[in-house]
Amino acid sequence: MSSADIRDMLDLPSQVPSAARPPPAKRIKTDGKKLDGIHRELHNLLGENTQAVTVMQNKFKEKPNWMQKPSPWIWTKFKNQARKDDLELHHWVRGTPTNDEYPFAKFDKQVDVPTFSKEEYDKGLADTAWTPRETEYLFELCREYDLRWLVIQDRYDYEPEENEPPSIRTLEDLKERYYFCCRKLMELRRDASGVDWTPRDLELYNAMNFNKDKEIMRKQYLERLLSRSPAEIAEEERLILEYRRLQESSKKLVQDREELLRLLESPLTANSFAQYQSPQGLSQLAGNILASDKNRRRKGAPEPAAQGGPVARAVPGTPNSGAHAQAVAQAQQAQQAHVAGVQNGVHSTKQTQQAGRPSSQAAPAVSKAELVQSATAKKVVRRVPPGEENLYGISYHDKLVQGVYLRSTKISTLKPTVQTKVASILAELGIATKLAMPTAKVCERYEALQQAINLLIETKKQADKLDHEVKVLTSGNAGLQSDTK
Amino acid sequence: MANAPAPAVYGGDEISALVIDPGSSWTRVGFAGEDTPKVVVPTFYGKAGDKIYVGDNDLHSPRPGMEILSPMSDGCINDWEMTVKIWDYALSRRLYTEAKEHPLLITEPSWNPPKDREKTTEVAFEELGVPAFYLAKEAVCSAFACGKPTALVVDVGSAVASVTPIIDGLVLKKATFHSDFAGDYINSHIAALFKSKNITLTPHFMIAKKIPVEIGQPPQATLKSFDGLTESFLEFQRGRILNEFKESTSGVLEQSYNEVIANIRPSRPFEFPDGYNLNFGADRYVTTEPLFQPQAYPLPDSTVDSSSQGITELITTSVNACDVDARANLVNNIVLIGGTSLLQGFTERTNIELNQAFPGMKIRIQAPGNSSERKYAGWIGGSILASLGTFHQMWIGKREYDEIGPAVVEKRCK
Repeated sequence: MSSADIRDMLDLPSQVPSAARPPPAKRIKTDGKKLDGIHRELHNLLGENTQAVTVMQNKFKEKPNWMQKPSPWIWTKFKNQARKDDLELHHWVRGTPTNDEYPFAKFDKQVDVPTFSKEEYDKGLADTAWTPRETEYLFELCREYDLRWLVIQDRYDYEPEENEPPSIRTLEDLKERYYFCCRKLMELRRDASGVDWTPRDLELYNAMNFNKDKEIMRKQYLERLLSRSPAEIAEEERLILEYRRLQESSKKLVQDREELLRLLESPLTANSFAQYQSPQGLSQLAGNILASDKNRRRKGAPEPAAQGGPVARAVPGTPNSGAHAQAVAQAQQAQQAHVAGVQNGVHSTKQTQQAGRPSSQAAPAVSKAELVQSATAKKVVRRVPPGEENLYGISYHDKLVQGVYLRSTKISTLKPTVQTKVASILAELGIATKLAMPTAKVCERYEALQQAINLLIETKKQADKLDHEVKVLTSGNAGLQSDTK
Repeated sequence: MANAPAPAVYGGDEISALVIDPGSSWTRVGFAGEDTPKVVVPTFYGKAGDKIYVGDNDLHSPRPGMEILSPMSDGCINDWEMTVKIWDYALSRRLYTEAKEHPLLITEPSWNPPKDREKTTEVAFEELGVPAFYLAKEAVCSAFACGKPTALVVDVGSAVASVTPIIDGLVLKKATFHSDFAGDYINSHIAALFKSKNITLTPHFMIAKKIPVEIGQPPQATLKSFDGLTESFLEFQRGRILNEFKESTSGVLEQSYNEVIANIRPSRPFEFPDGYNLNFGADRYVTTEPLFQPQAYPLPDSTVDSSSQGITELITTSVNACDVDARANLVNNIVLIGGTSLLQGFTERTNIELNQAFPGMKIRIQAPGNSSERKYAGWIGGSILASLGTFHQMWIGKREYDEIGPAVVEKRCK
């Protein structure tokens, strides 16, 4: 039953006849570009899908066009413009021969060797060891062999005239003479023409500066270098390797020593440390120390002077290193106090933090500062008198870590390699590596012990190394002495 | 054709030149631009009365009274009449061409005297009637065949072993050395060895019939009889057996000859033309040792001049005669060619000895792997040279020759 029947039954007017028919099948759109190696019909079957795999057909050489007129190759005469005579040779040319320049003629290049007149020779080129004829001969050879000196020297066979002394010329003699003449000629011509040299001329002039003695020396060196015996070469290589090794180890030694010196750096208390006694001065110092410590770690092991720099500069009124050392000492004290505070684990009030702040801040915040100060004062008053802290188990903290933690986790850990060594020494001393009762005091002592052991190990290591070094040097010295004997 | 390489890249321009490379035992002839010579003929001629025989077929036919002679001595041509006959035979009867139509390039040894060079030029223009001519140094051509403009060419051929330093395609004459401790000298050593073992050499052409025999058993062969054969002809034919032995059996030890080491090496059998066969062990190596130590291994009943040098010494002398600046470069570009250098182990031995001689320098020996490239290196280089577009300005033209005469060769072919 079609819609037309229903319309008929319901007496509805029928639709436009054309609309009744189904719409014509949509033509499959094809891409504008034609694909290689695939028929159009086959390609249309793919529809609008993109091809997953491109079909590559083996492409053979194009079929020769048999019907085409063959291009003729003609056996033709040609003249080479690089030749002085008009010798005609033949070669095969495709198509119609033309009378163009021979393509290879342009490769005919000559080196520019200057010529000189008799006047020029008399003016500046005269040399007792050379006659004009021999100089001319040399220049002729230079022209003939394009300044290939090895060949020029090989072919140099000057026959002196009867009154001339026989000439035995080395390569350096020839080069010296030639370059001397060339430079002299340049000078003469500049003076004669009055036109100054261009930069290029000057460059050429300087390039032709031939130092015979230096050249001879260089060749002697080269000869010696090339005539080394296998044993000498092996020895040389061994020495180079040894040198590299020593360099490497000395670098490491210096590094280790610095590391040690830093550890041993003992605080000196020459200056008064009154300025650090206020909480403000102390916190400032601690900040400086922390910063310098970070710096130090980042730089690896820079020289001590550089390390001292930031602290010394940051701390006011410490112009010398003594002051610096003192500053360090102060900082250590402060740090220890801080550590102790943390370890006690007792929540101190904000007061200490507040107290740590600079009391005299910028002017606009005066009222606030006053408020805070008064509050601080109140709290400070409430402090337990010193000595009674332990009694009550109270400690003060600069800064508190949030959350709950075990005190034993706060014990600073060492490097794993050092840790094992420390552990073994602890075992020797009969002390357990795990604390049975980690009270604040115990932890503090334990940490101090650990540090001491670490220092001991480091010192021992350095001492051994230095000992070894001394031994090596003394043995080397002895060897040298016996050699000189 | 359509995609022929551009001249700028290819650099070639064929003018259909001929190249002749006369060696001590073989003369190579062919067209420039090809990779092997089309014709290789022996550089020997047979002379029976007034008749002259050249070419393989005639030389090897036994004729009463025919003497076999060589027109060469010390690597240079000295019998021009016969040389022209050999060249003419190669060109007209083997290559079917006429020298009149083609420019001609001939190679020469580096120590060729000016007189001979002029003679070559004269022969080329007057007798062969070429339109253009060039005389190239064989060593330079060999270096070009290996693609090197700067090289130390070590050419161990049949009659001459030579070492030639080449800088930018030019020979350093004062540092060129050659000796006659080469292939033919090895042949005489092998002949002496056979003589000491009481082995008679019966050339191939005399064998009518032979029966295979066990190793070391006396030969059972029926011989043909010939009348009036000359000693030089027999010598020439025996030389072919010696060559065969040398090529198939001989070798060079990697180090100075040592009987113990030589005996460890596997022996090789060799069968003579008459069927007699033998295993050769240490003898394979001892006969080639004079190439490297001529003084320690003289021929029986003869002495070797105390100044004579083996190959390595020759190379060392040559390198040391060059300027110190050139040495490292030369030693790094050693080109080893010539038929005798094909002896098994020759390259290794040279390399090892040179490394000992120049411990401070980097030695690199280039020896073409293809045997024809080794034997015909001079010809191949000549073929390359004569088909280069840039070379065509170098030819000596006929007119130039007419104007200046044979002396033009000294001016043009350096």
